[in-house]
Formats: sequence, structure tokens, C-alpha cells
Amino acid sequence: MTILLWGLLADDPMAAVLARLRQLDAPVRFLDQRRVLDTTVRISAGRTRVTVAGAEFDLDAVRAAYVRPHDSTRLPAVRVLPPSSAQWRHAAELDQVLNAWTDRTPAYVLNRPEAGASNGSKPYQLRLVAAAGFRVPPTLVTNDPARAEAFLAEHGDVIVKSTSGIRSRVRRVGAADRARLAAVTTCPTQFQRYVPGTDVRVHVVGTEVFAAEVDSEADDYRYARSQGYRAPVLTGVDLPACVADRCRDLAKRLGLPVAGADLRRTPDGEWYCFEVNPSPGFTYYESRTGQPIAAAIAGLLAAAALCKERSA
Amino acid sequence: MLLILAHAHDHAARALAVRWGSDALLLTTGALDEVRWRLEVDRDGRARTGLATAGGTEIPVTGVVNRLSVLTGADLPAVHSEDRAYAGAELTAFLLAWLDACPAPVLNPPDPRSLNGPPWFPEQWAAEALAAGLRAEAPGRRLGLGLPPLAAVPAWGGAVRAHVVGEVCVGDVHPEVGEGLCELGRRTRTPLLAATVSGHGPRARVRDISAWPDLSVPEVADAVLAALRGDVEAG
Repeated sequence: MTILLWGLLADDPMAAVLARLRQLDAPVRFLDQRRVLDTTVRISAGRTRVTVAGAEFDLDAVRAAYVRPHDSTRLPAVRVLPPSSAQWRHAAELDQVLNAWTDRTPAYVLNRPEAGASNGSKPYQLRLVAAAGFRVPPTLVTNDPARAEAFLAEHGDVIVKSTSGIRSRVRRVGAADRARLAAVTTCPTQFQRYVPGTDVRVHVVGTEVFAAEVDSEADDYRYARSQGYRAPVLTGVDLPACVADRCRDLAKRLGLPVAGADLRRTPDGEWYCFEVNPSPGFTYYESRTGQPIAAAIAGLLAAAALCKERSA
Repeated sequence: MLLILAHAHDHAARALAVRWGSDALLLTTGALDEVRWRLEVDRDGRARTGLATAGGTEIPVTGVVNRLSVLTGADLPAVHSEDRAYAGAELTAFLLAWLDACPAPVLNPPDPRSLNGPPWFPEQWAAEALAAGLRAEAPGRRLGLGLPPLAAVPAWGGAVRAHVVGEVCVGDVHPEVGEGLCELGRRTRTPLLAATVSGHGPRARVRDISAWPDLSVPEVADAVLAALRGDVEAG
């Protein structure tokens, strides 16, 4: 029985889960992405075997996995090479092959890339979020300046943010933006009605729910300090039972046993959900609230691995 | 209007547009900004899509043939070079949501990882084909720096190329194999499929499965048109 971890030790959530699993004395195998150029994969007759610097292990022995792969072509040893180089192509293909394995393995995976892909398109995921019963902000994605103008006129206070999963700072549309709406013709741009209220970040881990209320004046609290606001203050809170259930249901619908949901509670008591992160950087919240999220993930992996081993 | 989305160099898509004449609007990646797109989502998640000319005239979309998997910076030479990769990701994300919300039939329906159905490796397609009752083969894979490549898979003598369009299988294959391929399309929510079949018998093997049928085959083009018009079930 093996619990596989795939990613980078410099990644705080990965390091935190690895440390908790070792505290549990769980049988862990860490597949270090920094060794990508020393890693080989062989797929034959339905079996997948990985070798790192000569040491081979059989991925079919994996019963549970926690995967947070980064783009291997961005690793220091690879990013300096041209995309045409054998090393660069190897790194890219290895990512693809291992991601494909995590999608199809019968092991319990946190989280399968297939399930996490919905986060690559925010308006696509928004409809899935609404299907779980959350309010979502009225949204327009367009390359039509006239439509954008009409949306701004209808909703007044509007924010703009990326449509894709590429991280962007959420910000309100200001006078300068309104003056150059014609620029949207080159690429559809996402506008959303501004929703007033208090941000609540929720981490779902299996059936456990950890909620943290965020006190910040910034439109996007992740960038509060860089915008000259005070650092956000995070406080662990209990969600109303119906909202916690909705979060569990949402994570389940998305196929994400571990999920980070961005909620906002309005002054009227309504709960909006903006998006769900399938690979949440939970250590930021854990370090400020003391919520045992890494331990919960480690516990979930260990329990799932045991169940899978017994049924194997 | 039947919308065809394709890369600039997709000759099969161009042939399809020519075949369908004034019923079709071909938009290549470099021309996506020549029309006005919109996707609206209300607070309950209800979505509306729209397409219009640059002058604001609505284009009624009655069906979509999508030949795009993902847009990269290379597809957008008119965009400033520093912004191309970002623009490619943004356009891909937008088209995923737009195609998913489009009320007209879309072939293939988008998958969150690829705009044209699931972007699977041969071993994943083979596993699904086996589950659909087909005799499927997946080649082995060996990946490593300095490793010699695996020997090429020998070609099948008498192999046949088969294409699935919804409930129709185009190609000279046994009806049982054709039905198996249609079942594969249903299982994977991929109404447009292509595969290589080892022969004409009921126990023929399949491989090289993909979501990219050859639209330049006239029978395939006609079957796609029929599926989009609702003459046959698109799956």
C-alpha cells in the first residue's frame, strides 16, 4: 500500500501534508518534480511504472494520492532550455502522462485533474456553482463594447477579472476603464456586478468544512498589502449548517474531495460563491486560523488508502 | 447559421464550409475578433449566449462544428506578442463556457480540458473502448531522457478508417463494430469520433481512437450536417 504525493517540497501545502502523513507513519512515496529529468515512465499492458534515478516503483501499488503538480517546464533546470530541446519536451510530456494516470487510476486521488479543470474557465464553473444552490454574481463576458457599456450602466458597480484560471487581481471598473472599453474587441472580457459583503473562504476536506472569515478593505484581499491596505485579518468561523452542506454538495458535484470555495455573505444574509479552487493553497489560511486542514487531508488520504487496500 | 470554428490551417474545415455554402460561417482563430461574442450568466446561473456581426446584426447560430482543442499564442499573431499566451488562455476559457452554454447542438461538446471532447491518450481511449465492448488495443509507452523509442506498432493489413457521427458510423466496418463505436461515442459524450479498425469482421480490433474525424470525407460531412439539423440523433 502506498500513498503517492506528487509535486514540489517548496510548495507549502505539499510540505504540510507530507509532514502530517509522516506523523501518522503512513506509507508515503514522494514523487519530486524537481527530479523530472531523472524520471522515466513505462506503460505496458495496463501497468504504469515510474523510475527516478534508477529506483523503480509501480504506480499500481498506489492506493491514494495527493497531487499538486506545477508546470515542469517552468522548473529552474528546464525553463532555461528551448521548447525544442529534448529535456523541455520530456518535462512537458511527463506532466501529461502522469496527469493522465491520476485521472484514470482506481486510487483515491486528491484531486483528479479532470475534476479540477472546471476552474480553468470561471464562467463555465460559475454555472456549476449555481447548480449547487449558491447565488453567483450577474456576469457578462464579451468582446462587444456596446454590451459592456450597457452592463456597466445596468449594474453600476462592476468588477473585472480574468476569464481563465490564470490568476488576476479582481478590481472595480473605474473611469479610466470605461474610457477604453473599445479595447475589449480583441478578447472577450469578464465583467461581474460587484457584490458587497464579507469574504469567507471555505475549505472542504471530505466531509469536513473549515471556514475563515476575511476582514479586509481591499476588493481582492489577496493583494491587500500590495495595494496599500492593511493585511487581511482571518478568523475561523462556523458556517450555518445549510451553507456548510451546500459547500459539501458543491465539492461533491465538482468531484473535488478537497476544495477551496470563495464565498461572500451579503449584508442581507445571502451567500454568493465566486469560484472553487481545486488545488487550494490552504496553508495561508491554516497559519492564520489554526484550522487543522493539512491534518484533515492527511487523515483522509490515510483512511482512503486503507479502504482501497482492503478492497483490492 | 452553422458555425465552424477552426484553426487557420484546417483545410478540412475550409472544405466543409465550402460544401455547406451560405448555411455556414467559418471562423478561424485569427478571425474570432471579427464578430461580437457574448455570454451572460444571471445570479441563478442561467446562461445566454449570443453572436453578432461587428455592426451589431445578430447571427442566429443553429449548430456548431468545433475543430479547436485549445488556443495558444501561436493562434493569435495579431495580438501583441507579450499578451498572446494570456489571450489564448482567455479565449479558450471563454469558448469553453460559450460552447457549453450554447443552446444549439455543438459537435463535439466541449470538455473542460479540451474544447473538442476529451483530450485522452491512446490508453484512455482504449480503456473506454473495451468498456464499450470493442476489442481495443493501446500501444505501450516509454518516456525518459536517453531511452530508445518503442518499436513502431506494425500497420494492420486491410485496416479500415471508421468515423462516428452520433448514431451513424461511416466506414466499411461490420455493423457490430460500428455499433460498438457509436456506443463509445455515447459513453464518452463524444458524438464525433474516428478510429482505425483492423478489418471488416465482427471481431475486428480498434485503435488510434480520437475525437477528430476527417470532415473532408463527403459522407462524414453529410452526416454531420444531418446531425446538426436534427435529422438524426447527435448523441
